Amino acid sequence: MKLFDPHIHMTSRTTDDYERMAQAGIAAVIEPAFWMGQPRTHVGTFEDYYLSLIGWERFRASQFGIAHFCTLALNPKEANDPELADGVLALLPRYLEKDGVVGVGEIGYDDQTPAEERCFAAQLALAVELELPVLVHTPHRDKKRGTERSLALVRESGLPEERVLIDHNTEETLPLVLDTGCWAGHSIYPQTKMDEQRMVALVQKYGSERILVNSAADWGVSDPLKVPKTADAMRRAGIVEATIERIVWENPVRFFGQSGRLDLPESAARIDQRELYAGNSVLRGQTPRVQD
Amino acid sequence: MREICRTLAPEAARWLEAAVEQARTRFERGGFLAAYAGAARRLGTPGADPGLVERARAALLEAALRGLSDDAHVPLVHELYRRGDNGERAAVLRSLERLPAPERFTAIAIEACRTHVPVVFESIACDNPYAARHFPAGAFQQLVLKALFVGVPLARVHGLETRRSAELARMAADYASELRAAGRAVSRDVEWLARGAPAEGDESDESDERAGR
Repeated sequence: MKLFDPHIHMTSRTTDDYERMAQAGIAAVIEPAFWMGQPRTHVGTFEDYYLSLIGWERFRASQFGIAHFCTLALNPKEANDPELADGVLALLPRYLEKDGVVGVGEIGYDDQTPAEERCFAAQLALAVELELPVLVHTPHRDKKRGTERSLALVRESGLPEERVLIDHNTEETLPLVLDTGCWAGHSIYPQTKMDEQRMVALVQKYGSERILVNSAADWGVSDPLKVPKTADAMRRAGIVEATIERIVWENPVRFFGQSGRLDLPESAARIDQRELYAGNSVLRGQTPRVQD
Repeated sequence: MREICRTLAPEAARWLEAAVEQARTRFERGGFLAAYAGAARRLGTPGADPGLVERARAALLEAALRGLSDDAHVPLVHELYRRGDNGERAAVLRSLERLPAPERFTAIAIEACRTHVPVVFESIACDNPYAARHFPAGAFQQLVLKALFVGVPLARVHGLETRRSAELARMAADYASELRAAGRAVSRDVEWLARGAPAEGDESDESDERAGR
């Protein structure tokens, strides 16, 4: 079974990680633009980081047979820097045009400040204009309130909810997200966020529709194999293969495929010609071909 | 331009024609940079011929330069290269020779040789007359040496025969010596280059070797 990690910061990971990920069956990743552990001090630093995501990191992943895509944005933490915020936002119309970019993200709230809200709203508007899906980071502190405010801002923006992925969900936020048309991501991260067993329980309770899992592996103590490990945990708990595959492959492909730019290599993309893309079938009277 | 558009779907051809026209007559920096960046996906499926995308980007750049004053040329080419993704970088490098007064762009082409990304290195080192025509000796030697290091066949380094030198032969001979000391195989390309320029090496074997390549 092919696996997809739709939220992982490969910039901070070594080639050992790429090797292990490839061996574990990970065929595609999304690397969202985020902060580097301490605040940047120049707009140019963001620019070079974006360039590294679409250039060097994309190439590095390809060396291990992993298709690498990214989302770009001004992240919630650094939206609080008044000297840089507007300069970084001004980069986005150009960089969101580049190959390998499949969405706007990570955007959202961190401390839930007015500055964060301004940048969150501005980037939602950009996503509407460019017809790109959005990855929303939910705060780790005051999470439930932050998620509610995020969903409200998404609603106000006019962005179709099926183009929004609300990430880092917990037992309390998942039902809020599923009540909307948004998708729900879960970061399986040591000690904080979510773990495999709790994720299994959520899937048993809510099923697999619009549900994604990721490792959010970064420069901290984290595990780039959490997606395959979560798949294994689900399997051991008796969850059927089709459900697991939907969570770890089909859902990320479908969600980010909305960008129209998720160029998965032929070998990676599972072919199911019964699927509709944007309401249009590729078929014109032929019998659907389904790859098992 | 007509040749490019002939192979495109109508909508893609319209986009390109409009973008080229805009670049030439109503150049606007932000719009141009976005068009250059987005050209690959706007011209068709991922499976599209990459040479086609490169030629389309070349058409965009040539159109822009035609409308801009000369002193804006080098900064624009530098911008496209340095802030391009790998596909854009390759397109810039392949287009250099056809730009007006191409010798102005050696700095960016030489910088490009430092890349670790094969598609970018190959776009300046392979089947591209630019380096042989415009690089100073030192930079050309480094390009050739790197081609040997990364396994690019010397037959693809355009114009190599016109730039062979004693120094290049010395570098190749030293590389061969280093490989042998490490117990590694020495390629025929390294050996051929180490033999030196035709005036210095064994002439009778030269043309046979090269014909067999």
